[in-house]
Amino acid sequence: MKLIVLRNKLLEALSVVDRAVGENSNLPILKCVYIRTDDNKIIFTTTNLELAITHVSSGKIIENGEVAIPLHLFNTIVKNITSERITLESKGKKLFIETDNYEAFVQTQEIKEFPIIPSIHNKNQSLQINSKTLVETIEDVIVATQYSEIRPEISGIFMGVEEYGITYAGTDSFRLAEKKIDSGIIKSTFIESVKCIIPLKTSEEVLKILHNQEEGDVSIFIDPTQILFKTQSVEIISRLIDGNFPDYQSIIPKQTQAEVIVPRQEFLSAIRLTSSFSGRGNDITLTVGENKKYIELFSSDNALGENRCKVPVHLKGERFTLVFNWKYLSDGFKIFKSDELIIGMTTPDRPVVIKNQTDPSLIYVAMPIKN
Amino acid sequence: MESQELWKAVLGEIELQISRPNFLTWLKQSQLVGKNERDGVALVSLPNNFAKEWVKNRYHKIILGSLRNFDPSIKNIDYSVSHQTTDGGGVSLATQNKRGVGEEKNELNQQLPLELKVDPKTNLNPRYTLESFIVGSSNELAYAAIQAVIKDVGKKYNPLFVYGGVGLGKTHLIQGAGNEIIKHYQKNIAVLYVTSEKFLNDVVSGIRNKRIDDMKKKYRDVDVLIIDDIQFIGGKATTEQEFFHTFNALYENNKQIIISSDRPPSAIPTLEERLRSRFEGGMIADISYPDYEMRLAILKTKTQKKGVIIEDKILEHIASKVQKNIRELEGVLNKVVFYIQHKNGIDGKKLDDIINETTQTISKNITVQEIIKTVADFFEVPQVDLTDRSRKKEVVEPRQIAMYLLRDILKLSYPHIGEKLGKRDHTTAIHACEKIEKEINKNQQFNQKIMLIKERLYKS
Repeated sequence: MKLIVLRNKLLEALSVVDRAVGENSNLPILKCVYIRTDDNKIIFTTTNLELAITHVSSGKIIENGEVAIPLHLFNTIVKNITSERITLESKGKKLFIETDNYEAFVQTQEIKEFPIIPSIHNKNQSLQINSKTLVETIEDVIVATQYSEIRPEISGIFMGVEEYGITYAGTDSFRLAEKKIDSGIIKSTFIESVKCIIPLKTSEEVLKILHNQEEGDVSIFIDPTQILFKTQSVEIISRLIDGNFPDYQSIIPKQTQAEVIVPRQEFLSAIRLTSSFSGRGNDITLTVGENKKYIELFSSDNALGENRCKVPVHLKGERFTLVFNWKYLSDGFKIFKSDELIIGMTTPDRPVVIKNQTDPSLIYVAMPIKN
Repeated sequence: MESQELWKAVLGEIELQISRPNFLTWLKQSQLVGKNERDGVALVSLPNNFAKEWVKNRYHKIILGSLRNFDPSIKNIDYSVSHQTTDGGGVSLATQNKRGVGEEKNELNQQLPLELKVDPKTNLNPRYTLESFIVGSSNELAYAAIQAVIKDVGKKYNPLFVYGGVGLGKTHLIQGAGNEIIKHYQKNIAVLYVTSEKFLNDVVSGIRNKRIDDMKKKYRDVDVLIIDDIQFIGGKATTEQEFFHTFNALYENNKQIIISSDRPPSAIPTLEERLRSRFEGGMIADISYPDYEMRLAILKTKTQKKGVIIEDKILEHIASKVQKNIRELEGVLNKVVFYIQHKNGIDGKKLDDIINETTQTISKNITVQEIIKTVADFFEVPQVDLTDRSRKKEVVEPRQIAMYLLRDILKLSYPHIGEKLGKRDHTTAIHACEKIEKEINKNQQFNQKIMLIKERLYKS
């Protein structure tokens, strides 16, 4: 194999595939990036046996071939090289890296040892979605997701493809975020509805990789055990979590006893301000004022002191008092973009729903603390 | 089990041919799921897609070669990705989770009611469905009555009173009915399921918080009220009174009432007369002990649901040994499945151990005298008649039952049993035990009789 590549392109490729390099002591080959040429394309692949990332790049190919070398080492070299053009040439069991003022050779690993990357064979059913929309959606629901060893089925993001669009949801069993994407802005060839749970780690990597890519369409393919995200230059294939996501629809309150319209930014600052006195439990108390014109946020700590802060609101329904973990509340407020939000509550021991007044596609549900 | 052994042998051979890291990564967690006898295709499951691709492409030949060494009938191999089933023992997970959180984070945080799949409005657990309810001779009357009620809510059999012993499926049946009614009538019908304990608590908290009206409204605004284990409200005057009024209010408006209990209304000693007569005014259906065939059917359905294959011999053995309680039947089955999945199978002795430790009633020292006395009392024959040489018809059966019990409970030798009961020959004792055993499996009523005697024995 002999190629000449631009440093920027190489750096980009390595930073993308870097996310799937494995830490598997049994199989040292997983620390390697597998580079091969195919029809004027240079293809970089890494895997940790949970997910695999393939990045397609370009460069001048003088001689076709394939090679596997330790990624970390390769990455360090490329990062610190100053020259624009880098020549890679394999001879026997060595890969030579050369620029106009630098040369090195790296011992290569047996290519045959590199895992075969699984693929999804049924390519008929897929959906296309704008990468920016996907990134925003995953960002919205991932705040409520947390890795849990005891409950693998919620250690990931739920994705449901239906006729009317896609639903994403995440929960750590204290709060829940759900985002719906209307079928108008996606192209789907799925005939039946599909439900799957994407591992949290995979979701994070997809997020980071897409974030750094140019905006474009992402194609998503799903089979019963794996999911494939595909853009122009990157393919990410991952296993899915085997299990049933909780039937969370039933915990989203359908009717509310009281609804408050709150200014988002002001309320968020008030939460942050008041939280400085909240104790180990992170709890702050929300009370609607007597004239129903404001909410008072209150927190206290025996050792530190206490504080209260008022935010003007509009209340429909009865007055109430609720106690929250302020982190869960502020997380919820952060994912929305609008100026005003609605907090809907039923009874103090039931989940509270936070939503946007005009756009019903995003919902955040949080559980109050028992008083 | 055979395929497990086979796969072990195959892996042993392959381990020598490939490097250790490769073996650990790709084949360590593989399993031979089974073999299609017709076309000779073996099915091998692997932990993930990577392993599947790898093994299929790299090791197919050596695996096939090795498999064929042991079993020449295998022609080909199919590969699949195993499901790492996170067997959702929902309830146990929930408590663990909560405790874990309480220690690590803080006790104040309350969880979203995710794991409570119980519908908060109806209180019904969707796990209980009528489809999964196995109908046999012991419960067909109750099942038919429930079906009639579902078709004609509030009109046909009102109230419907279902009774039967512990672990025979009362709760399953009545909750299943609730779920079925919701499914049938969509959301146009309000169903409420409560245990009598919950009802009692509601009454108490209603009185305490001076909100008895709320409680009244809650129970009177439903179309179908299902109350489980009603026997517990017996003797609690205010609760009984409250229930009586609720009952009347619903009954007058043609709302369906379904009640379960562990005994018929007439046998709940502390129940007030006016309630009893109301219960008896509707339809009363009993659920009795399942017969052998039904127990076997239950076991087979359960194994199917769990997706495991267990030899018929084992299931038959469990069905014949665990007679009283379906819950126990399930318990034994769960343990057996555990052994098969994680401990490479199970042998006859272990199986008996499992059955004994699950079904063991309070280990009590029962003596020969006690058995003879209990049997004699039960049939109201003089004790001496049993130990006598009399061959009067009315003592023959009790004596045989006594022999059976001596054998079954005390594990006495046949000659000893014969000796104790009128100096008879050991063959007489053998004949008696076999006869009774056969009769138990064949005759439901007879089985109940034996159960009753045993119950008395353990209680006394």
